[in-house]
Amino acid sequence: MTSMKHQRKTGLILLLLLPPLLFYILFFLVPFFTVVGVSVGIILPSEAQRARGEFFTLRYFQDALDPVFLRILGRSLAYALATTVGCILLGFPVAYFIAFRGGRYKNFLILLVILPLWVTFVLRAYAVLSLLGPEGVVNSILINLGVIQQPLFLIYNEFAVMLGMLYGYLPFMILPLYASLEKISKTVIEAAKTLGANSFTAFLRITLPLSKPGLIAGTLLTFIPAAGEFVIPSFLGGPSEVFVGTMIYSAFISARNWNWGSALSLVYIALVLVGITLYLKYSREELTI
Amino acid sequence: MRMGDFLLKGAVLLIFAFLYAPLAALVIGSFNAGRSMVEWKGFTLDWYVRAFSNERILSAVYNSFWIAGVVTGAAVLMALLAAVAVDKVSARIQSGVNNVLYLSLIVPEIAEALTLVLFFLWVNLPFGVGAVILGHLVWFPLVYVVLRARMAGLPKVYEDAARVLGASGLKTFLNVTLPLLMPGIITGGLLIFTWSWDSFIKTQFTRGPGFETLPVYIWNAVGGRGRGISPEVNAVATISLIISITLAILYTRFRSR
Repeated sequence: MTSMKHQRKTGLILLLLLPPLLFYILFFLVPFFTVVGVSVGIILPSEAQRARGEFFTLRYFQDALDPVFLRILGRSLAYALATTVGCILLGFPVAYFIAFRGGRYKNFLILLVILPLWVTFVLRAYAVLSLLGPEGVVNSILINLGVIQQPLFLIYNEFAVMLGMLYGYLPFMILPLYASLEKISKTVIEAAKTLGANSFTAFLRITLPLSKPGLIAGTLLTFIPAAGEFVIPSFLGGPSEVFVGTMIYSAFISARNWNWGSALSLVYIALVLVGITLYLKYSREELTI
Repeated sequence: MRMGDFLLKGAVLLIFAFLYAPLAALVIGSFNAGRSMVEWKGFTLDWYVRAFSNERILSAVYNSFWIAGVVTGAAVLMALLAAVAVDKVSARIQSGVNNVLYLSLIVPEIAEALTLVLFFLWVNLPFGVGAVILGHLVWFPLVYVVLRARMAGLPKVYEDAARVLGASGLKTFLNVTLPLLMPGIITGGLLIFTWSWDSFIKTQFTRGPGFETLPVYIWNAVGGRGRGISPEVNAVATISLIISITLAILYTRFRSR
């Protein structure tokens, strides 16, 4: 009797759980294995590969690992690193201020940090364009003030890309930083000061180490997407500024070279995973987002 | 010390200005009578009138809306099924399901987008509206996370009381569990609506030719090198901005309940 009831219950749970789970497996997990298959030519082999009669090939990885791509990959990672460091430098004061000096404006200030995240990235990249572009607000103010006669060329260069990346990713750093700073009990800092530490020492020895989980979460949230970013470089970068993201995009959308594109993206994903693992190992923290 | 405080305040003010200056520039440009932003030629609503008589913009806005609506409905349903079912299984299976479902929320969108493209090519499914909706629906765990968080904070006594008083399982769910979950359904729904409304990368990869959502329209109209600013785009962008901000404020309102 009870076992029959139990069976009915298990059946009901399965009936409820199966549709969403199957959907997820089919349209999220299976596609990930598809990329691996395509990158070695088992799935969707190219014409040339079929002509050679190869069922499995590492050719596409050879193409993906050529020095030109590796240089682009290195540059993208360097930009992502610079973005992350920049976001920490700009984000820390903001998170610190809101957590410790926010007072009754705390919720409002956090809302101000969150709001830009609700706006689509394309629109935010375009917004930077309307600020910096030759017809943009900055140029217009400078011309009206008589500082310059001709509009400055502020976009389509590395500076604009860097600025756009900082602008795009800053909230992703501030939020986790704030979350961990907020948890720090003020009494711990007071205790350090009572015991003779000055403000600077207290910050360095107490506040900074305790904000580590936030720093790690923020770094992951900015570094991973920044390394593959393609909206911002496409809007603000010059023609020579090729990034992993823009390269993957053109391999897929313009060149329609699936095999090469898959190999490229797997190299990018693998590198990002290695980076995360190393970072987590050296910072000896569990990944908890 | 006071000097340090002063510097901190100044820095924070500047950084907030940095976060909002581009958006402000965008909004100002949409009201400027001049075609470029170099000169302020007076206030006008012309760009809005023009944007709203542009068929392409109207259909992009319409597409964004109904897709986000369909995705929200279906995602809430799937998340609800999963969240209710998972509530009844052992803690080990629960955390397993959770970990697998969270994956779609932390993987970069570009990786997800290209895996979907290859999968669709492989199994010969056509690109277009259907593909876009399926792609967005993969984010249903976003609603699931919110619902699970809400359920964790709910005492079981309400459901038990209903059962003891003779309500059937379905009746208990409809009259007790569902109303208790409502705030979670609304906040989760707002989140998935926004993700769908904002999605550019996934949509761009999986849409068929000729089909545009609002972010795709903005990309096509002004994205890419050498294309300048268009005040018409500023006008639609401002409207999109207002919608996003409204959604965000609604979200914070409902979350605090």
